Amino acid sequence: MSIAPEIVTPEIVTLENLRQITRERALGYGITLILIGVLEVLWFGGARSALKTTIEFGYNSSSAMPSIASALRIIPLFLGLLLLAPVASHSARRFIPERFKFTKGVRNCFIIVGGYLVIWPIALWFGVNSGGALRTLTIPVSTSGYVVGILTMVAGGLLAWRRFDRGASPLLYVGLIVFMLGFLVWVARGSNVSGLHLQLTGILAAAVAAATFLIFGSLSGTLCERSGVVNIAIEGQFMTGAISSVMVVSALNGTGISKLLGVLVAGILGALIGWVLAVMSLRYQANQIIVGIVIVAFCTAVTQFIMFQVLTTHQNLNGAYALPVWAVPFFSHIPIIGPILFDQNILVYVAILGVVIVNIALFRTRWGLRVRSVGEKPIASETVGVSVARMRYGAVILGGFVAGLGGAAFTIGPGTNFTFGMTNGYGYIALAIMIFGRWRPYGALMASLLFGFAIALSANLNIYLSQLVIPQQFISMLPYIITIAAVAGLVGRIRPPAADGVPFSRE
Amino acid sequence: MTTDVVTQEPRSSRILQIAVRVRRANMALVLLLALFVGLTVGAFMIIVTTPSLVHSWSTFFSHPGATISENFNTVWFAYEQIFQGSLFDFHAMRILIDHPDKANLATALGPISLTLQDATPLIVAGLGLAIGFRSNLFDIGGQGQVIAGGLIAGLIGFSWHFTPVLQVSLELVAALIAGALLASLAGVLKAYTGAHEVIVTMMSNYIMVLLLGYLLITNLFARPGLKDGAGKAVTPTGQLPYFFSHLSPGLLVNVGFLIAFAMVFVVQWFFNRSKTGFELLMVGQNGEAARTAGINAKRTTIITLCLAGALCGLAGMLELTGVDHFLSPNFGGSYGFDAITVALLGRNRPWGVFFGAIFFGAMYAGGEAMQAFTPTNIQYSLAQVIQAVVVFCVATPALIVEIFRLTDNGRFRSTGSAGGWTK
Amino acid sequence: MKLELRAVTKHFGSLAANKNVNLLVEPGQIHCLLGENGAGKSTLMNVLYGMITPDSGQLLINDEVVSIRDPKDAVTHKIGMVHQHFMLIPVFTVAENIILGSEPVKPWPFIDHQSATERIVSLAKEYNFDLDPSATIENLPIGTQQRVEILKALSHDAEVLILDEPTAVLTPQEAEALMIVMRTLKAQGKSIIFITHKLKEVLEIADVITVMRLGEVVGTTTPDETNEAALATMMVGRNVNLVVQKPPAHPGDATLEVTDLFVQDDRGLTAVKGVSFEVRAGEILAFAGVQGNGQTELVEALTGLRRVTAGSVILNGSELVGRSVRDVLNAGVGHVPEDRQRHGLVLSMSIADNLVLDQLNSSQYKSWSGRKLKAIEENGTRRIAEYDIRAQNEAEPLSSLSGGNQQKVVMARELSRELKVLICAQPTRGLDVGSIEFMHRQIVAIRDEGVAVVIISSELDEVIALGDRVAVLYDGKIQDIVPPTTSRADLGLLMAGSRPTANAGATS
Repeated sequence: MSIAPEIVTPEIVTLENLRQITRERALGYGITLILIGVLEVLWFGGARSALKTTIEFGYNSSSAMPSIASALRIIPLFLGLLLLAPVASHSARRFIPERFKFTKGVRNCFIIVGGYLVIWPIALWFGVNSGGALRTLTIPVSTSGYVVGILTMVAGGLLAWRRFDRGASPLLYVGLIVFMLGFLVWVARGSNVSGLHLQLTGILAAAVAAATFLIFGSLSGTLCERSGVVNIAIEGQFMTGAISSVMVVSALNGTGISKLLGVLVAGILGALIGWVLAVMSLRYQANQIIVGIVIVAFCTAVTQFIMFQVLTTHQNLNGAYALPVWAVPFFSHIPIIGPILFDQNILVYVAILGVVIVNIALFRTRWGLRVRSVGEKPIASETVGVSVARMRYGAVILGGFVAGLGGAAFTIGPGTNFTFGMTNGYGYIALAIMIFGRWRPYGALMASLLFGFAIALSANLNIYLSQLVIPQQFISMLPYIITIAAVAGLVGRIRPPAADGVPFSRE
Repeated sequence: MTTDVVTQEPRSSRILQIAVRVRRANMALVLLLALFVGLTVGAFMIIVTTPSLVHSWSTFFSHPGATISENFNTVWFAYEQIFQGSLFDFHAMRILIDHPDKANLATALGPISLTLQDATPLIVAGLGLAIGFRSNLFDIGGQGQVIAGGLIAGLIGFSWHFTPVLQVSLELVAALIAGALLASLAGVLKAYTGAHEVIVTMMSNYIMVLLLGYLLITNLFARPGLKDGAGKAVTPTGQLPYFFSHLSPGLLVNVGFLIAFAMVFVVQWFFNRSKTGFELLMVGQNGEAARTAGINAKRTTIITLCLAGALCGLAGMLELTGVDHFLSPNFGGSYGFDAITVALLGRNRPWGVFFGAIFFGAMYAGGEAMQAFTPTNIQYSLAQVIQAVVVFCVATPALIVEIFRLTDNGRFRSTGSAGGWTK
Repeated sequence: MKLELRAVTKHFGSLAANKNVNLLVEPGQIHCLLGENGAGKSTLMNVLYGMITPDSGQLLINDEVVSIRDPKDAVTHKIGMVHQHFMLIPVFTVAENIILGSEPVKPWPFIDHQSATERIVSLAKEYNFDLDPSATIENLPIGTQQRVEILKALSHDAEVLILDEPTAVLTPQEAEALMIVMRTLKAQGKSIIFITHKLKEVLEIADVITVMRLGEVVGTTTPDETNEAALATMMVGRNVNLVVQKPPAHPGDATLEVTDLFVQDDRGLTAVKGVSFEVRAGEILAFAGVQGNGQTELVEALTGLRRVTAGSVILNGSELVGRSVRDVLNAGVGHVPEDRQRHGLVLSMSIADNLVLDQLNSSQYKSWSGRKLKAIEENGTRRIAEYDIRAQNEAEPLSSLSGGNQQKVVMARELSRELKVLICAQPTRGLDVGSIEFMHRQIVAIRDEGVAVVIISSELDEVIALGDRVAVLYDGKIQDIVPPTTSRADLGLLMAGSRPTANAGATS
C-alpha cells in the first residue's frame, strides 16, 4: 500500500479570531461615537444658556505657585528637552557613552524626568498670569456643545481608524466622558440662572475622588474573581470600612497616627469579612452569591445598629476628619491634569498605586500566575502542587482588605462623617465596573474613572442646577443606568475567569 | 448510600443512643441552634454598646455574680420585650381570660396581629424570590419591584372610587403586572445579552427608589399642600379591609394575610404540579439538560423573573393598601432585601418561606417594642442583626453542624456554583 | 526508579473502586494497565498521584515506604502524570503551563520568563518536540497539547510517567507518534505506566501488562505470552462477542436528508464544514472519527440545539433548520446525548420525572390542572420493569443509579416517543459490557421497527459492529461513507484526514 499520510492540522485560530471580533467591535464603537458626535453638534451646539463652562488651568488648592523669574524658566525647559532628545531620535543617542546601556527602563526614566522639566515651566506660564492669579478659560455653553461634539467625533474617528484589538481602548472611555459632558451641556440648556459657572476642573477632580472607592471596590472584585471566588460582599466591606475608620479616627481625636490606624482598621475589618466569605465558600462550599448577600445583610444590620445605638448618643465618635491632601510636587502644577490627578488625598494615590501593584502582581509574579491558574482551572493547579484553597484564601482576604480601604475612602478620605446608607450600592456598581474593565486592574481603573465622572456629574448637577428641565432624580439615576448598560453588553461578550464562582474539591 | 449513621451507633446505652440521635443534624435542630447563635450575638451586641454593662465588667473579678446577673437581666429584659411585642404577654393574656372585653383583647392579641401584619408582604415577596432562587436566578430587586407594585396600586387606589372588590382586584392585577414588567427587564437582559440578574435587579432598586422620590413631588402623586412628603391617600374602597376591626381597632390583621396565605398554596401547586414550575426546577438544576429536552431556557428565565417580580409587586400592593394607605419616599423600606433573607431562611420551600416571614414579622414587631420599652432604648436594628445571623447560619448549615459538632450524613454540605457573570 | 503499590483499597460510598490492588513497575519499563472503563485504573493512578487518598495500602519507591498525600508529594517523588483530561490552562501559554507550580523567580517575586523559556526549549530539543513556548494552549491541536503535558511532567524531573488514556483523543497517526515518544523515554531509563483499553496498542508497546477488572487486578502478563483475545477475556471476565447480532438491514425511503451543513462551534469557528448525507428508514448510519472533528456540533445542529450557519436538514420532507429544539423533538427526532449526566438527565430528580423530561407537553402527562403525577409515576414503574433498570422504585433520585442504568433511563425515555429518526451520540461511553450489549440490542431493534438511526461514536469497534454504513468525519467534513467491512487500517487513514489510494481500496 502506497499511502502518503498527510496530516493536516485542523485550523484553530481562536486568539486571532478573538482579535478580529474586537477589531470589528472597535470599528462599531468608533462609528457610533462619530454619530453621537454629529448629534451632539446638531443638538447641543445651538443650546442657549447663560451657563458658562470654566476650565481652570492652574487651579491648586493647597500650595501656592512658586514664582520663578520668567527668564529662568528657560533653564529647566532646556534641560528637559536635552533629556528627551535621545528618546525621540536615534541620532541623538550617539552622544551617549557606549558603556551606558540605553535600556527600556532608562528610556522611561528619561521620559519621566525630561517630561517634568519641560512641562513645569510651561505649566507655570500657562497656569498663572503675570499678576500671579490663576488663568481660567471660560466657554459659553453653546460653544461647549460644538467642542464636545467635535471631540466625540475625533475620538470615534480614531477608534474606527486604528481599530484597537485589545479590549476597550482608552479612547472609548474618552469618548464616553466627552459624551457625558455633552449631556451636561444639554441638561444645562435653557437654564436662566445667570452667572453660574460649571467648573470643569473641579468636576473632574471630584470625579477622581468619587472614583477612589470604586477603584478599591473593583480592584477587590478583580482580585477575588481572578482566583475564582465571586465577592458580592463588597458593599458590606465598604460599610464596615467606612464606619470603623471614622470611629477609630474620632476616638483618637484625629491625630496623624490615628488616621493611619483608621485606614488600617478599615482594611483589616474588610479582610476579616473576606475571610468569612472565603471560609463559607471554600471550606463549606456554599453558594458564593448567597453567602455574599447574607454578609451584606449582616453588615447592614450591624452598622445600622452601631450608627443608631452608639453614634447618635456619642456623636464625638462620628467626627469629620479628613486624610491629608498631598499635592504632588511639580505634577500638581501641570495644567488641568495637575489639580485633577495630583492634588488629592492620600487614599487616592493609594488606590492608583494599588492598581499598578495588583496589575504587576497578577501578571508578572509567581503569586499572580498561581492566582490566575486557580481561577481558570483549579484542578490543573492542584496537580502541580499549587494549593487551590491557599491561593483563594489569600486572594479573597487581600481583596477584602482592599475593599475595606475603599470603605475608608467614603468617610475619612474626603473627610465626612458616617451616615447610614452612604455606600448607596456602590459595592455592586464596583462589580459591574470589574466586568466593564474585563477583570483587569487597569480596566478597572479606567472604568472607575468613567463611573466616578457619572457620579460627580450627578452630584454637581444636583448642587448647581436644581431648577433645571430634568429632575435631579433622573440625573442621579445616571450611574445605575450606565451600570445596567455596561453589564448588558456595551462591552460586548467577554470572557470571565473560567472557574469564577465554582467551588473546588479535589475528589 | 443507604447505610445510615444509626446502624453504627452503640446500642448498649439508651441515653447515649438518644444523645446520638439528638446530635444528628436535621433542619429543626439547625434552626433552633441558629436562633441560639443569633440571640447570643445579639446579647453580645447589647452588652458592648451599653455603657453601664461595659462598666460592670470592671468589677467582674470582685463581684462576678453581680456582673453576670446585671448583664443577664438587661439582655433578658430586651428579649422579653421582643417576645411580648411580637407574640403575647402572659399577664395580658390572663387579664383577657378573666375579663374578656375589647380593650383587653387588643392588649393581649395586638402584638400577634402586628406580627402577622408585618409578615404579610414578606410572605408574598419571599415566595416570589424563592421561585427565582429555585431556578438559580438571584432576583435581588425585591425592593424595586415592591415599589413598582405599590406605585401602581397607589395610583389606582387614590384615583377612583369603585366598589371595594373591583378596586382591590384592579390594584392586585396591576401590581402583579408592574412587578413582572420591572423584573422582565432583568429577565430579557439575562436571556439575550447574558447580563447578570444580580446587578441588573440591584440597579433597578436604586432607580425605582429615585423614581418614587420624583413621582412623590409631581402633582399626580403628591398630596396637595405637602411637598416632598407623603403621597395621596388610598380611598377607603381601595383599602384592604381588616378582619377583626369590629372587635377591636387594635387587631391589625387584614385581608392581605389571607391573600398571602393563599399564595403559599399557589406556589406549592406551582412547584409540585405545574408544567412551568417543573421546567423552572429543571432549568435551575441542570440548565443544559433542560435545553436538550426542548425547554426554551431563555423563555423560562424571563418567566421565572416575571413571576418573582409579580409576587414582589403584589407584596408592594398589600403593604400599601393594607398597612400604609399612602406612599412615602421610603415606601417598602427593607422589605425587598429582607425577602431575600426570608427566602433563604425558608430554604426556598413555600411553607419554609411562610414561617420564615412570620419570624421576621415577629422580629419587626418585637424590635419596635424593645426600642420603646428598654431603659437604654436598645435600637430596633438589633432585631435585624439577630435575623442576619440566623439567616447566615441557615444558609450555611455546615457551619452549625461544625460548631455544635453534630453528626451529619453529608446532607448539609451544600454545594452551589455561583456561576460566572456572563453565560 | 522502582515503584510498587501494595494492597491499595479505595471505596467510593459502597462502591469499591480498588480492592487490594498490587502493582510493580521496574525501572525503564513500559507497564500497561489495561481494563474497561470503570475498572479502577484511573482511581489507582489518582491514588498514586496523590489526588485521591486511599482507604488503605502502601506505596514503595525503591523499596522504601513513602506516603503521597497530594500531587505535590508525587512531584517531589518524581512521579509525573498526563491526565486523560489535560491539566492545562487554556488561556495560559505553553511556558506558563509548564512552569506553573515550580516557577523560576528572579528577582523574587517576579517570574523569570527568559530562563523558563530557555529551559523549555532545551528540554523540547532533548525529546525532539517542536514547541513554541509562547503559544497559547487553546490554539494548539490536541496532540501538541499532550506533548506540553508530557514536557510538563518531564520538567519536574519525573522518573515515572503515568499516561492516562493518552490515545483516546489522538488520530492513529498522532498515536503512532506518541509511541515513538514513549520508546524514547524508555531508552532514557524512565518508567511509564500506560493506561488504555485498546488491546492493539498494548501488544505493540508494553513490556508488562496488568489487567484490571471491577477494581481488582485479574492478572499480569507480557505481550509475548498473550494475544488480543486472551486480553479481552481477562478484561471482561468472559468470552466476549463484540459483533452485534443483527439481521441485515432493509432500508426504506430516505428519512433524514442533510445537505451542505455548516455549523460553528462555541468559539465562532466553523466546526462542521459542508456535511451532506442521508439516512434511510430502517438503517443505521454510524459516524466514526476522532473526538473534536465536528461530531458534537453536528449532533447539536441536527437536534436544533445549535444554530446552523448554512445548509438544510430535512426530515420526511420538512425542514428542521431554524426550528426550536421543542419543534425538532416533536417532529420525531430522538436524541441520546453525548454526555448523559450533563445533557440528558437531571440527577437530583426522580427516575419517573426523568423518564418524561422531554414529554411535559404530552396530554398523557399533563391536564388543565397541572402535571398528571399518577400517570408519570405509572410510566416510571412500567419502564423500570421494561428496561430492567436496577432501582428500588420510580421515586428514587437518578443520582443513585449506576451509569449503565442512567443510560437506560435516557434510552427508555427517547424510545417511548413516536420516533422517525434516533440520534445516539456515544451511546455506550463508560458503560459495562452488559449494558453495552443491552444498548446495542435496543438500537438494532428500533432500526428494525423502521426508524432511521444515526450513531456517533469514537469507538471504532462500535461503529463497525453497529453501522450499516460508516461515515468518517474529519475536520468537519465527511471524508467518505464506506461499508462497515472496510479494513481498520483504511478507516484509520480516513480518520486521519487522508484517503487510501484507489489501489489500496481494492486490496483491502
